Amino acid sequence: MIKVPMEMKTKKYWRETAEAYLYLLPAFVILGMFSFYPVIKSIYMSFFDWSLLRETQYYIGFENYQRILNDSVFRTAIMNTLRYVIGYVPISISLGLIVAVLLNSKIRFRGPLRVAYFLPWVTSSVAISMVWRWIYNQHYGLLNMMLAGLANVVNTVVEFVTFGHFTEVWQFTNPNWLMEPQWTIINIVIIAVWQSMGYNMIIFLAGLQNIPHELYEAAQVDGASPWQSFWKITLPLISPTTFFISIISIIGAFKLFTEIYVLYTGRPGPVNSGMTIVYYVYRNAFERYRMGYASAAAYILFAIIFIFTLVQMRVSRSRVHYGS
Amino acid sequence: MLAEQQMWRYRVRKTVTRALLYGVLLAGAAIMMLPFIWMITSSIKAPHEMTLKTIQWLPKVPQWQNYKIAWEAAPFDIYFKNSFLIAFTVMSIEVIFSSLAAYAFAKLRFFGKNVLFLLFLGTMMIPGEVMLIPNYITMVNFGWVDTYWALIVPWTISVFSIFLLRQFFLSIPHELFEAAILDGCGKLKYLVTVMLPLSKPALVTVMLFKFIGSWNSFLWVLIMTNTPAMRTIPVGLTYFVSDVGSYYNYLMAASTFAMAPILILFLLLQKQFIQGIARTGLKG
Amino acid sequence: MRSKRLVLLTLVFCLLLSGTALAQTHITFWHAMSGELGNAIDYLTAEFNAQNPDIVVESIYQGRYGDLNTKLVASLSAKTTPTIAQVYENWTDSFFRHGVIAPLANYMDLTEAEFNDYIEVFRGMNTWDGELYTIPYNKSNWVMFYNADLIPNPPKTLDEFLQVSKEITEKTGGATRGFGMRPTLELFHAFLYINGGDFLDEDLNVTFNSPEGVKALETMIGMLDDGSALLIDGYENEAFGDSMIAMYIGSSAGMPHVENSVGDKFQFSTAPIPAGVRPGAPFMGTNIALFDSATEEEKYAAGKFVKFLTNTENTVYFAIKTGYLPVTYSGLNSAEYKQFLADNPHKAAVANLDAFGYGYWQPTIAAWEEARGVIGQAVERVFLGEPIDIVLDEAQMLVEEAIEDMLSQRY
Repeated sequence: MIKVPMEMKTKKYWRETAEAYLYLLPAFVILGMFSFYPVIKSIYMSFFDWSLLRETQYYIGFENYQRILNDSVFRTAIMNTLRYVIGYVPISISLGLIVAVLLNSKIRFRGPLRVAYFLPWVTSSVAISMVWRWIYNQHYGLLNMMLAGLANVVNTVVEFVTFGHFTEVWQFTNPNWLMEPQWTIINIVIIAVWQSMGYNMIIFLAGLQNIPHELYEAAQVDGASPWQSFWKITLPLISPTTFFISIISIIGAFKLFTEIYVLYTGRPGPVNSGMTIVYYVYRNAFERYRMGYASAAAYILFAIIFIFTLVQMRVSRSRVHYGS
Repeated sequence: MLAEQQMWRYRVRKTVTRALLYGVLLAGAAIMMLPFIWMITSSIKAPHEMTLKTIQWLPKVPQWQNYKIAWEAAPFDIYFKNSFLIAFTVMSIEVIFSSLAAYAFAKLRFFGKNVLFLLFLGTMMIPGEVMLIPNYITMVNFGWVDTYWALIVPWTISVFSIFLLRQFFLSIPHELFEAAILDGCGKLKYLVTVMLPLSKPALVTVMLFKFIGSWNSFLWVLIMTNTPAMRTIPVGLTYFVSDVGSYYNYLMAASTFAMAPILILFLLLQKQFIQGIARTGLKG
Repeated sequence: MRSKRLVLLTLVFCLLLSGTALAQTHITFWHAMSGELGNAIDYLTAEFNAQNPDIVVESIYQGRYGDLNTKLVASLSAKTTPTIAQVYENWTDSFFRHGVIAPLANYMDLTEAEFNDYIEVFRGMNTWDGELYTIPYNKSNWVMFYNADLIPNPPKTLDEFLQVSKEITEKTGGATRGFGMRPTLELFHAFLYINGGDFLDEDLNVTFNSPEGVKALETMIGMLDDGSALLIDGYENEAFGDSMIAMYIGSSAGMPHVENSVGDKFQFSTAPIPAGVRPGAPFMGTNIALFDSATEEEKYAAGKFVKFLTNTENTVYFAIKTGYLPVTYSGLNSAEYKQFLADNPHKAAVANLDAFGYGYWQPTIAAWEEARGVIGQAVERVFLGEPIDIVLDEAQMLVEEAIEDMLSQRY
């Protein structure tokens, strides 16, 4: 990528390079001290049996990496993380876009509605986790109450329509959402989507302001339906923002940790069903003081995200339209 | 006759779509607001009213003194002052630094651009958990522990903001840039007079998120400071939570006054997202 | 006369000046106590500073226990440790193995009587290598909370307990279950211990994978199956306050929260955990550790401060203010504390003197952090219906692995 065609290496090119680096100087200095340096340091640590409590550390080559890749808990963590990424990212982005488009059109209560959708992002996480714990509660929760009611209606309707041939088609079993491991990632996906909707909405709203209004007016004159305008104008022109959100969302989703830590009060869900890669890193670093081991796990995560991001950039190259 | 029928059909369809749209949006908004409302009402409940079994939305007697008790439980006056100072400073400096960097990435041609951008992006892919201790040691070496420097300087740049602004700068027509440069407009002047005003929604977004991020930052503040005089609101919120139970009503009262400034900021800023003003008069 | 007075005054003034300039020893105490606990600590610290002009103690709240741990880890790796800090036993074990803490008792100038005044159970939890390394501070025990309106006489034995649980459920038609539980390591430990078992023996061999362990889990599952117990997914005290359950076993440190959630809805009280083949009272809570990086002077100053914190008067003050236990026999037997218990009968079981005779605690080894996760998961799996023997076999293997790692000093 650094390959530069000969003809471009002109004086002007190097002057522009100098100017660009000047603009980037603050970023270099700050990121250099507080991101690049700790990153390099922890890469170094990942080759050591590095205890936070010990003076001397032992070089062990790739042993940390080997041990991690052989650890069944880490494999669980990868699977859980992937399930979350796959479940969360597409839903979160599309809902964010839909809400943004709706709340960008001229409808009533636009302001208050925007505030409402943004609230989950700023409401205290304790209040959020408490209300969701109530929603998910087996005996008194909103979710089971609603599902039971729905099952009742469905069963009655089916029974009526089939003249009693089919009764109890939907056997409602009152699931215990928070204690049965198969629900853990789904619970977290629902909460995370709910919470990130307003966040994505704001970014999309900002992006939507960049689309010239005349385009929509012209389309309307040509008899295009709102549906068509959405596909032909909004979607292509918002693509730089969509690209941004999808990269950021995937990176964020791979780093899932806090949501689980808060909802399950400091445990990785029932039977490790909420064990994620970052949870694994956290546990090894701060509960077991194994910094080298934790760093190695972090770099395996880095490699996974990096590959995802590269693929994403390659795939979207032809689909992102920047202006003209 | 036929036309009238069509008109009528169109009207019905439009009304039904509208009704559906509002129905979905309002139902969505209600779900979105549930925890918020619960937080507010719980903040004035008596302790034994905090039950979620048969959810009790309103207290029998509003306990307004919860706010006073919560406020006095921790040195919140100091915490508020610090939170404001830090969030405001970080937000202001960061928007400048990030605009400069984003401008370089979006509009200038320079050596190593793509690799550098990936490198920047790469820093977001490392969990902060492994960088915390090396960063703490750096702060100890700088003598910055327990000072505002530790709480402000590292946060004055964010790859998130650079990336977001870069995307916006990229979608401003490049011909405009080339024409202006040919006319002898300096690059920095172009950024300040053309790019930034055109990217107002993006700048507002970046500032809003930065402010909120700084306002809610907890672990960093706790690790980098040792005394109450240097700490911020989220540290104060932990006063009500313990391993064996929590004082939810006080916690909710404190959470309410803790989030009030962010909400006000949002209300002030959300007016910036109004269709059309940004780009009128510019051809796409 | 006048000149003499002047000379004297000057002398005194000089002494004072040199005194403050020379001998002020600064020490820091990091803790995780907020609210009432934090106020009590701040008060005691101020008292101590007033009584000891040559020492300045700074007591600083550093977040909850998890946060405090993170802070300690960071400060250990940057060599900026406080003088003393609140610690759990398994942190102590890690610190001890890496030689970063000093035996605090050695700097406290304790007479034999004073040493023996610390309650034996607590001494046991704080001893490493035969020395009292850390000093017990906010200690609590697990007791049975019960709804006194529904249960006038709390069950004393396991059989009675099972009987009462069943009756309550039947009597209320299931609206209130007899007992409430979460699949936790602590609850498993309680049932395991009264069945005559324990997690590990003294040589760190796994002993929970045993007939006693199987029986403990079977008892717990059985209570869920016949409806006498309710599975809870939050804090027990909330379900208790809502009358969803009539009894639960939990930490005495949660007392203020139980009082809050019960309010005046009903009367509640506490009783010792019912006895099986033997009685058992689990003790837990934190202790104070002294970091080795402090100077000798600071270490002695810290010793003096901790001795002050745990003297009869102050341990009683702290216990009454916070609901934790006094850490000394003299505190426990003091007239003031006895009066306090008499005034608050629902707390009587918390400081039940017999309990100290059959007290037990979780293993105080570094590997316990990992082991407790493993065993906790084993309990969860059993609650989800997996076969007990297979689950326990696997847990035993993983715990043995963790202990081996710890002993090898690698990882």
